[in-house]
Amino acid sequence: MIPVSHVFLLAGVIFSIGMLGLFIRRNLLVIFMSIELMFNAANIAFVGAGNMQANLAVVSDGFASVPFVMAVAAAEAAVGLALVVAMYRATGDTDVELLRRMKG
Amino acid sequence: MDSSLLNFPWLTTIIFLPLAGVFAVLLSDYRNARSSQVIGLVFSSLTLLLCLVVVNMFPGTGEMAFTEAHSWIPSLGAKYLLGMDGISLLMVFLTALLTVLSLIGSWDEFGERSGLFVMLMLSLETGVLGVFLALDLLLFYIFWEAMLIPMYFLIGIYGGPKRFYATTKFVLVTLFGSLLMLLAIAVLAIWHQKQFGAMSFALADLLKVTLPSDIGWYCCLAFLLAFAIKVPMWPVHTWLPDAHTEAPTAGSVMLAGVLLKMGTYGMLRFLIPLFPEVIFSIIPWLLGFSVIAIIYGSLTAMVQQDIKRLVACSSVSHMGFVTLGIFSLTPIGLMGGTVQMVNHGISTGALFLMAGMIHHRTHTRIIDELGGLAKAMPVFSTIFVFFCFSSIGLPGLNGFIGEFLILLGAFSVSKKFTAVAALGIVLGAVYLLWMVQRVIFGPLKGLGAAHGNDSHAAHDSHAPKNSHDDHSHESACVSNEHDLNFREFAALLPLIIGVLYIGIYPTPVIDLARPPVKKILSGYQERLKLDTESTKNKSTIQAPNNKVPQGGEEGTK
Amino acid sequence: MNLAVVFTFLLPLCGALINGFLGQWFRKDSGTVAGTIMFGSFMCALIAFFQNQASPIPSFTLWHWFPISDTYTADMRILVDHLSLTMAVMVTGVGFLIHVFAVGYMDHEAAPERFFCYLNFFVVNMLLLVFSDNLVMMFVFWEGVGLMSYLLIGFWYYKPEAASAGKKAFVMNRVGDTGFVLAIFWLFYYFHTFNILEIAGKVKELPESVVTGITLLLFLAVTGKSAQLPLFTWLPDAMEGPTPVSALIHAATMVTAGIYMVTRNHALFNLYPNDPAHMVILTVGALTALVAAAIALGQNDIKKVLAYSTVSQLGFMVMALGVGCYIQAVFHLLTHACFKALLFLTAGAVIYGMHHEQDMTKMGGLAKRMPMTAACFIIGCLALAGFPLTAGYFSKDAILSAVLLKDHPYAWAAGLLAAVFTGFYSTRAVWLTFFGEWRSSHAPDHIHETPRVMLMPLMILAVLALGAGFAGWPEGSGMLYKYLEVTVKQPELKGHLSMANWLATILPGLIGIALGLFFYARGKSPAPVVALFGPIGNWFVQKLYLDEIYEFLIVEPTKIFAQACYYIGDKAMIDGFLHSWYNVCAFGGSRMRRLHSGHLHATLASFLAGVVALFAYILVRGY
Repeated sequence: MIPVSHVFLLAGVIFSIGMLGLFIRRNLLVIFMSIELMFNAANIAFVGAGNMQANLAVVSDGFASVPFVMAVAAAEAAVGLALVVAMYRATGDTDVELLRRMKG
Repeated sequence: MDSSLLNFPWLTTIIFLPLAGVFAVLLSDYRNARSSQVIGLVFSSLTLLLCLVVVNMFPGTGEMAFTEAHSWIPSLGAKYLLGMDGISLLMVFLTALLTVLSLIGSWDEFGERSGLFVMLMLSLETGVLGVFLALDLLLFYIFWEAMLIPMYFLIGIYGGPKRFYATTKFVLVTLFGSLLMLLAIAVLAIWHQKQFGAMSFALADLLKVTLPSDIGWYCCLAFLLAFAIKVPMWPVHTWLPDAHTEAPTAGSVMLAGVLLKMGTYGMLRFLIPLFPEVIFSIIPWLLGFSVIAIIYGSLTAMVQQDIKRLVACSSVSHMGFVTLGIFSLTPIGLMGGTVQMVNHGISTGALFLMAGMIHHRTHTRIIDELGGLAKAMPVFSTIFVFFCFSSIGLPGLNGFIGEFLILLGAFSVSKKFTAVAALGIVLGAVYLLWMVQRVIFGPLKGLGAAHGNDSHAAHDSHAPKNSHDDHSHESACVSNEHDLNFREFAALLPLIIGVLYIGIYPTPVIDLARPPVKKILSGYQERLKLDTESTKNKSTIQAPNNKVPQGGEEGTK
Repeated sequence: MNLAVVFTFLLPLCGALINGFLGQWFRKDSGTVAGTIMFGSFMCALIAFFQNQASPIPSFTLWHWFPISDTYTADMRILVDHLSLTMAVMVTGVGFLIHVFAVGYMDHEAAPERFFCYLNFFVVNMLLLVFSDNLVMMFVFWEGVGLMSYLLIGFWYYKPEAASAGKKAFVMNRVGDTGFVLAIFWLFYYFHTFNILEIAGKVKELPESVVTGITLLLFLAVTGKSAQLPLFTWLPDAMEGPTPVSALIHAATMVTAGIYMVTRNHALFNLYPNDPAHMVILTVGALTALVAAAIALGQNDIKKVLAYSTVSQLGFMVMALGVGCYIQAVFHLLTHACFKALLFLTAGAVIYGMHHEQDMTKMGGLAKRMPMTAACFIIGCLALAGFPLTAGYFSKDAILSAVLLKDHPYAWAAGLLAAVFTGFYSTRAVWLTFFGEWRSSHAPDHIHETPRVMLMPLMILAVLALGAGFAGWPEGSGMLYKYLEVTVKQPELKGHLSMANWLATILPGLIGIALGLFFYARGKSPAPVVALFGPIGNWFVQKLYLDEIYEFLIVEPTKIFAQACYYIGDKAMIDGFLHSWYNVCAFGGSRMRRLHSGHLHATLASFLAGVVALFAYILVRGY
């Protein structure tokens, strides 16, 4: 049995990597992948927390959340990738620094 | 009466029929101007027809008729409550009538863009009708705000050169007041929950709420501000001239004809019944502001160069009369105020329509650029002068009845205020007749040089009193091409009839207003009596007629 | 409902509607239609007059106008009594003659149907004013005649002066009407009724101060409608209207409405005959009579002379009201209606003959060319000047002796002086117009006698101007006094005038005429004599500069104040306040927008900072 702390640690590390990517990369596609990483980190944390429940016969809230997160991630992938394609078509690049026209 | 007829949801039908018209326009083809206009006209006429039906069935008691109650947002206790008494009936009828007339009046004004215009007018009508019929404060508030949206676009899209400034000012200033009112409504509902255990927004429920005096003060002021901005009372009136000047003709007609009445209607329906104590304590202020509005509005009207702006400023003055009547809180004054609401809708609406017609022909509304229209447009000029006199309050026309009753009511409350307000009658004659003198009389200007300017110049140079000259002169330049056409005359005829009807035989209108007015006043006095008994406030409202001088009685016996 | 009475005002109403809506199809005959209808109306008034003498006609309600309260409704109700019928006969009679004259006078007009529509409608309003049973109804038609006056003064609307004069008349009348309305409110406040007779019955209950206030307010209305100081300046300007209008509205009928209104409410005015209000009324009347006569001395426009003389004569009537002698006032009102209508119509005939020349200094010697017209004018002027045994003599004498008997020597003296002036300017007008040399630059060849249709009314009025005075003779017990005493209860005059005083009341007119002849009959300069008196004379020639004074004291300050209200009040202060809030928001926004740089990473960093801050807050504060 893997201690739950390890699971959370893993989730934390993956989440941090994702966030780091989010902050330092300028390529929209990579930013997008980082976000996916963060989603999956959250999912790992959910599974770990769900595993802490004593009665495994009942589906825990933690487990139940996982499909939702996956669905959201899938939807987000669809919309996000479409946006990336649209941006590439419009600007010929995927650098977020090009998207500054909405500045105040 | 047949109960199935009474149980039919008349009011809901009246309110939402214009909205159905909007969808009908959308479903057909809103890019086709003519078809949209026809649909709009059909739906607004149907609404007017329904109003006539309702007028015929109206019981004429002080109680709410045709009431409808449905649950709406149970968690908040908000209900869908509609009802109609004499005052709402008058306002609803006025709204329906003016919508039809302004649709007719601006038939040729927007060409291709008419589709959206018709939709906006119809949704405006729905909003306004809802305001006049809602008996639940949340519902009332929603209609109150909903009607802003079409008005915003009416001015913003179809308005004059400074339309963006005008419409933004209109919406922002109005919103400021109404948001405070929303807060006050919420406070009332919450206090209802505190005292009776459940939230409610129904007017009948909220009347029972007793607020602590400081909270009552703030709530009352919030309501007052919202309504005062809408009326508009001095000094929150400056949005009005701008909005009127920039609005399209139909927008001005609706704005002056019915939107302003929402403020005074709110005072009658909500402000006075909900907060009698606070109102009682600030009556002198309210009367004072009304009197200032009368004089100030007339004065500002005097210096205007634009006909529409002049009429807009005169609206401030006329609505000052209405608030003077309302806050005199005497039966006569309130009756006069209600009648004056209708009168102002009719005569000012007509004046705006006619200002639009002048603009349509001469492409200007600047008084100095116009003149002598009587020569080229005799029928138009006759009717224009007629409505000016109606607005001046010439006895025998509608304006007199309202102003007379208002001042008669106010006189029993304060002689000084009434005397000053009576000066407003003189000023009213000054600015309107001065405008008539410059626009209608004198040498012809503004319609182009083709109409015998030369012969006029001859007239001016040696000012002959000679009818011989006139003969040749008149035959030279009389042509009817600029005069009213049939459509325009049709738009004005109902208003002419209204002016004469209320002027000569106003009894039916006054009888409609009387029972609800009495109910409002008796409610007010009852609440006040409870209040005065508890606080031992000795001053009460005096009935106007029971004060016979004591010296005289002693002298006779 | 008495049919004769109803048709008296219904016929002109029909006439107005016919001419107004259908007249454009029979333009040339619209005058004939209106005149015929007026004749019918006059006959109805006469029938009603004699019916009423046989057996009094009861009042009747036309319709319930509007409810004031549960118990009281303002009605349109006709009051028929001796006073209203006398007035009705005068209005329709003079009105009929003037209509006939107007048929000739307006024959070159392009749209005479509009003129006759207005004229008929004016008669309706005037009749209903006279027949009013309550004050609100009286006020309605009081304003109604004002409206018709406005429309008729501005009949030639394309003349800027006419349009301006109409507006001035209406507005100045409205100033007075404010007083009327407030008086109505005040009476209603006490009695809860508008009915004149009911008020008269209860009026004793009122304290003196209130009565004084109400009567002063009513008198304010009189100064407007009957052109007294300080509101009389509209009447001379009103001469811009066609001359028949001046004769009918601004001499015979409408301007006397004020006199009628006071007489109608005499119970109220009689109550405290020595209160300040009566002093005010007497003083205003005497001053107006004197000042207007003095101004008339210096006018060259024939219609302006007559206008100021009307103001002056109205001043005499108001003097009579001030001493509580209502019948004398009505007597003068009736005789004045005859001779002043005559004068205006003859002046109209002269103006018509002279092709719309009104300046007397450009006339002269017309008696040779139009002898009948001249004779009529001279008769009118004799009556106006109070030449013994003419109509004006009896009525003016009645007023002046009443004033003296009531012990107001100063007012009496002012009246005498005004009478001297009256004789003087009458003579001047006659002489400049009809005698002496031809002074116009045009050749006199085309001047002819007045057409017959215009001459007939003149002759009838001339007969009346000569003979109507006998209705009120002997003074205090003549036919008219006996007749009107049924309705108008006024205190009897005590005492008799001494011979010297009596002489003093007939001499001034003769002196004035003699002076006039002395100055003008010798064929010297036509310039007004008052000009000889230097600045003071000039002051009168310039109409006391009253128009300029009003312009300076009231009109201009109002305009400036109005400008201030709009540009300082509305624009600078209220809109300035709104705009300053707008500016605050706009400034704040312009600073805040810098936070939104558009860098994705900056946005993310601030988001992260926010999350961290929230967590930190929760950790520190606990849950």
